[in-house]
Amino acid sequence: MLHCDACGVDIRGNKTCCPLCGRALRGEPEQNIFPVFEQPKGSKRSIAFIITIIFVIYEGVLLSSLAAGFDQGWILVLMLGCLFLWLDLMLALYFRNNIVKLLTMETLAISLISIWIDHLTGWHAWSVCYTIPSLLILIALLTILISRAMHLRLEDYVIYLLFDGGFSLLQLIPILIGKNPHPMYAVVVIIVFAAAIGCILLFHFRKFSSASQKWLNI
Amino acid sequence: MNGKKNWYKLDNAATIIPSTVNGADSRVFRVVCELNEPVDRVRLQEALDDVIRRYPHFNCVLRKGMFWYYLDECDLRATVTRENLRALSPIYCDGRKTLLYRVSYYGNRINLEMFHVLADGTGAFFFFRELVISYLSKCHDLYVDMSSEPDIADEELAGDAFRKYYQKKRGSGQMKEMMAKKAYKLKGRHDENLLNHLLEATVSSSALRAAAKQKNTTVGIFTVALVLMSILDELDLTKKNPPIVITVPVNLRQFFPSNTTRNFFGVINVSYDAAEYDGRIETLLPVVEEAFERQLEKEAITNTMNSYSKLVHNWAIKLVPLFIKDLVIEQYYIRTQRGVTTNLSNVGKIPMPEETLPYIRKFVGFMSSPTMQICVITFEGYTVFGAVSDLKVNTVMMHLCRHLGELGISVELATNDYEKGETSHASL
Repeated sequence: MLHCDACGVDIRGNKTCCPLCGRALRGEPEQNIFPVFEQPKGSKRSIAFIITIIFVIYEGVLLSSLAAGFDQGWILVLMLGCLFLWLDLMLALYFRNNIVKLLTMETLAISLISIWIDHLTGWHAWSVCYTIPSLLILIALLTILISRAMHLRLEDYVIYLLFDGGFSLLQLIPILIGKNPHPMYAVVVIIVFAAAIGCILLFHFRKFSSASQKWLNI
Repeated sequence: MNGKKNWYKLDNAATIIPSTVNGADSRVFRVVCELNEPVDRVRLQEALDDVIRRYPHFNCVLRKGMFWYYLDECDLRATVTRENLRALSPIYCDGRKTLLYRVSYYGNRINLEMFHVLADGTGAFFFFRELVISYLSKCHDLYVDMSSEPDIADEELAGDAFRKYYQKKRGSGQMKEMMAKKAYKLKGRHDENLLNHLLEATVSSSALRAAAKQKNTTVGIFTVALVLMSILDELDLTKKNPPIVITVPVNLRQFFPSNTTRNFFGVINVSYDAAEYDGRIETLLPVVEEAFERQLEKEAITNTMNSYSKLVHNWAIKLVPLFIKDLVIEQYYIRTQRGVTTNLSNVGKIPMPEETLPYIRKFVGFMSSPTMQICVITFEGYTVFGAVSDLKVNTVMMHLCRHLGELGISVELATNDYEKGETSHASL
């Protein structure tokens, strides 16, 4: 066994120096009791931090171009696009370990962004007439397909379907306030979701109840 | 395991744990059993498969609800592996469906690493003891007489003792007190890769007991005083320093009968003003004794337990969505940790059946922490101080080992650093 004269301790393993004081050791090294791992090279920088720095630099460059008097319209669009991209990447990083949740959150984010862009560009109602209903159908199909592929239990993903169903009901707001001139597609989507959730409640009530109890435990 | 799956609410102590995982503080603890012979992976896997059946609440994944996290029983099977990750590496990763414990081996050592959400040290030892007993029984065809062991129902093992003993009355205000105070912080360079550095100091338990007896005190109080003295050694006593606060976890099962394996602990704080120090351990012992006596009274312990439970019984807090709770709890925890210098956990003696004793050398415990945590475990002839911190050079442990040496207690040290070929001490 190794020995440090300064600290007066016996040291197990095969060490370069005393772990306490750093001085040289005497004695015979022996087998290590902990496995030896390669030291990581360099420090770990968070991906989120790196993305944010790139975003800030890019926005800074665009802002200085704006100040220099370049075409304001295009620069504003680029700045906005960059902001959305940053938000989306942050969202993807946050939910990266749960693909179904990530897709649900992405649907919500894209829907809100499309409503906002539609509003900014003079409200042609494309967001509520076509984009959001299509997204909702797509997300419902993806949720089911991915959950099946990942062998998830219904309890594990029914909450997301329910969330999508609740979100689909919000399509009634633009219809009722006259902001959706072509409500057919949205209504069909609401009915599809209502029917799907009705079926789940009817045939899988226990699973649904169990999932809600867990999810809403207080 | 295709039957109906249970799910479990987190106990009071566990509710804040997932939100407070940060850097080196993975909130993972490790218990180690060092045998007198190399570990057989196949037998260990068999033993694990047998023992885990009795602990289905350990075979869970952590999931997020709307308001709180919860444990969801699953079909995943833990696989025994040769140690292939650095000690105390994070176990819980948000959204990932993984078990919250892992069992590994290296040479003569069996390691159980567990996310603190599942159990506290005492609870983990319920499981680990059974695992080691089962393993040794398989390896040596031992018949271990378990009739003297308490017969505990499975529901009792998974029960939430905090909920059982909660009384709706005023708490001790311990958390507020910790947030208001600013304690001395250990000095040194932190690991830039947020890695934990483990130091394991093994001493003779009889020599330590004799040294404590010589000072007319118990081993528990003596070890706290020794650690306090080791921290004081790194202070510049000519300057005014914030108080040193050592947090000592207390096993609440001693006060409230329970056989739960889930978290059931409180903490007491030993605070000391460095200006009062005259360089002798005799000055520190009465301070530690007084702090133990005052805070370990049943009423004080009950109040402290209630102050933890208050958080999860408050309706205003209950109804806050989890993603907001996560942010608030993280900040709250950072603020309470400002009032802590170090943590010292005295796990005590590990009782093992007579038949297994020839095969076991010692038990060791390690716990990640935002500052430094020392776990003291005694088994037969050895007491082991297992220290974990992300400080590259641990001067407190250096002083502690030297103090033990001055008392005539020889120290055997082990660490997961400074292997041949690694970075030298000087460059750290």
